[in-house]
This record gives sequence, structure tokens and C-alpha cells, in this order.
Amino acid sequence: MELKAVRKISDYEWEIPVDYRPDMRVPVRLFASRDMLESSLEDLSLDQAVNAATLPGLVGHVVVMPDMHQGYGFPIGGVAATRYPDGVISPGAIGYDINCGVRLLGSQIRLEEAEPFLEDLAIALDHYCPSGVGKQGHLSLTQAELDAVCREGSRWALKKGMASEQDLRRTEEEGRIEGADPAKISQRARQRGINQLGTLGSGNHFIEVDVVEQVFDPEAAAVMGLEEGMLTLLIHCGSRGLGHQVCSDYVQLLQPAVKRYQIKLPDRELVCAPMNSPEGEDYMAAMRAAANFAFCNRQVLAHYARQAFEEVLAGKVKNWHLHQVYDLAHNIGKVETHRVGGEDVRVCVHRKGATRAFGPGAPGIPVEYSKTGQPVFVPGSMGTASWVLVGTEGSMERSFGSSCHGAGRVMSRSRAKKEVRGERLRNELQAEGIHIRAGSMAGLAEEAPQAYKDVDDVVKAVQGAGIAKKVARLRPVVVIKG
Amino acid sequence: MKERGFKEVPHTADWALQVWAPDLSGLFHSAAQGMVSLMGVELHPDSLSAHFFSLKNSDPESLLVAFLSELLFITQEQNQGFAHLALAIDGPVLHAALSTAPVMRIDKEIKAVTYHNLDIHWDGDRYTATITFDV
Repeated sequence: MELKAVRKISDYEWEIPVDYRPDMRVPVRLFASRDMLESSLEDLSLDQAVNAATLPGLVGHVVVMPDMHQGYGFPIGGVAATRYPDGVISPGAIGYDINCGVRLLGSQIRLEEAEPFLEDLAIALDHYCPSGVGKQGHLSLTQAELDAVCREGSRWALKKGMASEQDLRRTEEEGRIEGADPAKISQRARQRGINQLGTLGSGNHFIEVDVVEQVFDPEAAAVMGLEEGMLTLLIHCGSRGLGHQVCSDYVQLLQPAVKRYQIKLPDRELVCAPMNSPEGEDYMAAMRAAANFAFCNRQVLAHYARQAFEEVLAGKVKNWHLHQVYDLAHNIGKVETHRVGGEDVRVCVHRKGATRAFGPGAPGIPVEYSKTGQPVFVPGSMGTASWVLVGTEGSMERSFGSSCHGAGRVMSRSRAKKEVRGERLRNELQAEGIHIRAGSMAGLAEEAPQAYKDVDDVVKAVQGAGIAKKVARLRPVVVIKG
Repeated sequence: MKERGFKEVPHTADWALQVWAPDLSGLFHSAAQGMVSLMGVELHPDSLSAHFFSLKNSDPESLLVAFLSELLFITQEQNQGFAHLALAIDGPVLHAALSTAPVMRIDKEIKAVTYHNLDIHWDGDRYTATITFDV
């Protein structure tokens, strides 16, 4: 794609018109600075956004966030809304790590109080929160318990004493999506999930202790319990092998449905079926079961992290408690109501590498956030800042209540491994006062800061576009990588 | 017999692998070798055991995705990597015989094998395909 194909709307908003390619059903709307837009032309992210704009039943426009980058089929940082119930649902437009997401916990622990114990905290977090390839957890579920996790999500953890009511209230969908049916997930998915609850996994997943470096919106920060100089904990992970298998199964199972419903696709990874078809209904029930597993997974990890904090900091700091700020998904399909063409329309919002960012007064967010808007978390690359934002009226009007989810890659993994030595990177970050535990040096190199966009630029773009607003900037002091 | 092989091709977020071979079973073999090479799989040198499976699918691309997904499951979930692999493809059916050994180490997890732009084609000299993995 060339830049001339893209029409400028404002400094942070651009459009690829619907007539760019004959098979497009809606335009593509991009939220990015000009520099980001130009750099996005170096990979296939915009071509993939155009491909996504061909899905049957789309309404409004396909949205692309400033952290966009090339994925497989659907761009990372993409949002697409299809009319419910006759529009399509696409497993590939949600991704393999169903309900990959981020949870933020706040504290009243001052960095200076905790600083002498950060290395111990890194060791304890690494011990309590299993990470790495295929890693099994401390829990081994029965088949009945796995069913319960897939149906009840975080509520299962509440029953087991691993969550509080406030944790659940401050989780997207209160940690449980209606309509999940564990009977729609395969035996293989069950086999993969049964020992993985409460595990972090590998790749770009992490647990991070941060300090609140700067507050930009004191009112919103106060509601979230965030203060400058205090520690926070970020958890980034998803539905583990269970979710990967659910997506793999349905990407295969839905291939014949594409022919059956006479859907033409530019890429088979965009495989889809109408939501009101048997195939679409089965996938939605399975996807929701995996999403509930992921909510519960982050809840159990939060419980373990609290144990680690207590073990290391009890009696050494005044209050070692971690309170939930919020937990949200960034790979998911959700049925929501949005204003499209002046009318309220029920749609399935596919968010792949994009975060729900409901604004003030929107339904479905905790009452304490109804005035400020829903918290949105934007983790930066390893060793760099992360951000806390809130959703806005603008996100409700222009991006199906969505915003960005991270920094966004700019460098391939193979190039990162060639250019960065894992051991050297770890030493550099440790010299900056960041305590690191990593499962693999090669994995560490792939996630090096230089492989990502500058997260501050991404946040500047979403704020400039009016689809999120800055609340606080976080700086990492402990990083646990899978 | 023309050579078969694989090479990693750049991809911003995930991993992509170009594979080639003079026949379809060779292409699948190359894809399997390339995948475990990307993952950095190291096997225990002894303790070989036999493993067999068969798959059926409607088109070669779906068969390739199913085959690599099966290997991923065996490697990442059953902790068995293949030391030797024999394949026979007969139309929509694939038969695989593996000598497997316990996995000692995996550098990097692959979440899934995707269909993204997957097209097995004959270029007049050999079969080629580019496979994208979600990592």
C-alpha cells in the first residue's frame, strides 16, 4: 500500500476509503501520527486491515490503533464490528491467545520502602507464578473443575478463596462472560488447560512490578488508588494452551463453513461463520469458555503475586496489600451495543491487540469509574514505561469503545535476535535498577525495547485522537518474563 | 532428487518460514524440521520410542496445518520431540511414523500454526510454501 491511498482526517486520524479495493465492505479508520502511519507501510498491517474490511456483516469502519503491526490475517491493533446476529464471527480476528489481557494491581507501598527487597520480590514472584514454555501450574484441576472455570471464570477463584468481590467487580465482564459452554471445547483443549491454570506462559507475557512515576489525571488516579511513588503490579497473559487449541480447532472446523455460506475471503486465516449459524454459535460458546479460563488465570496469578508480596514484604512495609485496579481483555469478541449511523446497533466487536476503552457513563463498567471512564492499560516494551489511561466519549463515538493495547512491534523477532544479545540486555536493564527473571535469553532478546515502538508516542496518538486520556505513567522495577 | 529445505523469513510480530521440496511429503518434512528449529528443541540423546499418527483433510494446506499442529502438541504438551520422521501422503491422507525422544529444552513456544497466506504451489521445479506461526 502507498501513502497516497490514505486520506487525512486530522493529525491523528486517517482513512482508507471503501473504494480502495472492490471487495471492501467498509472503510478503514486509522488512529496514528503521520510518522507512525508511514512506518506502518513497511509491513503488511494496512493490507491486512483492508482484508479485514471484507468480512460479511461489518458495520461502521474497521479501526486500526497506533500500535498496529502485521499479524496473521487480521492486523494486531485491529477492531472490527459485525452486525449481531447475522454478521460473522471470525476466530482469526480474535487470535489464538483468546482473552490475552492485562491486569493492574495498585498498592500503598512506597518504592523507597520496598527497594531493599526488590530482588527477593523478583525471586518470590518467579517462584509463585510459574512461567515458561508449556509450564504447568501449582493447581491440577479435575474435569469438573475445568468445566466450572470455563463457565464461571474468576468467580471460580472467588469460591476457592483466591479472589475478592472487589477483584471481580473490577474485571471486564466481572471476570465471567455469559454464554460459555465447555462442551464446545475439544478434549485436546481440555488436556492442555487442565494443568495450566495460574501460569504465565512465554512469549511477550510478563509480570512486572512498576512504580507510579507521574500522575497526569489526579482525579482518575485517586479513584484507581494510584499515587506517585507507589508500587503497582501488571500481569499480562491469556488462556494458555486451552485458548490456543480452541482457536486452532475452530480455524480448521470453520473452513468448510466459508464455502457453505458462500463467503469470499482474501486470506483463509480470516475464516468465519455467521454468528447465528451452528458453526458460529459453537465457536462463540467455546471462545467464551476460553475467555473465562483466561480471566480466572489472571485472577489466580494475582492471588499468587499477593502471596509473594506478603512473604517478602510483611512486617517490612506498612501495608503490603495489592488492590485490583482493573483487568481487561485485548484479544476477544464481545457482543455490545454501539451507535452507528445515528442508531444503536448490537454488534460483535472483534478486538485483536486492542483494548476495550469505555468512556464515562458507559454501561458495564464499575460504578466508581463511571465518572472517569474505564481504566485502560498500555504496557510498554520490556524495561520501558507502561501507561494507565481511561476511555473517553471519543472512543465510544469513533472506535467502538476501544483503544490501543501496547507499544507495537517494529522489528522482526529474527532481526531482534541477531541485533540483541539476551545476556547483555539483561545486564543493561539490571544496571538501570530493573530486577529481571527470564526463562530464555533468546526470548528476552526478541522482546528487547528496540523491537518495539516508543509507547509514549503510541499514547500521545490515542490521546491526540481523543480515544483515550492519560492518567499515569509507570516505570518498571521488577520484570518476570516467561 | 532436488534438495529440500527451509529458511526463516522476516515477520514483524510472529515467525514465518519458507519451505521447499521436490515432492509434497518432502515439503511437509521440511516444514516440520523448520518448525522445531525455530522453537530451539533439544532432545534427550537416548530413549527413542515410536509414535504413529494419521490425518485426513480436504486440501494440502489444511493437511499441512493439521500435521504441524499435531507435532506441536506432541512436542509442547507430551514433551516428545521427533528425532526421525517418515511420511507418506496419499491424496487427502497423511501417515506419519516418528522416532521420538523426551524434550530436554525448548527455547520458544509456538502458539499455533496459521493459514495466513498459506499456499502450497508447484513453481515448475519444486513445491514451495510460506508458513506463519503465532508465537
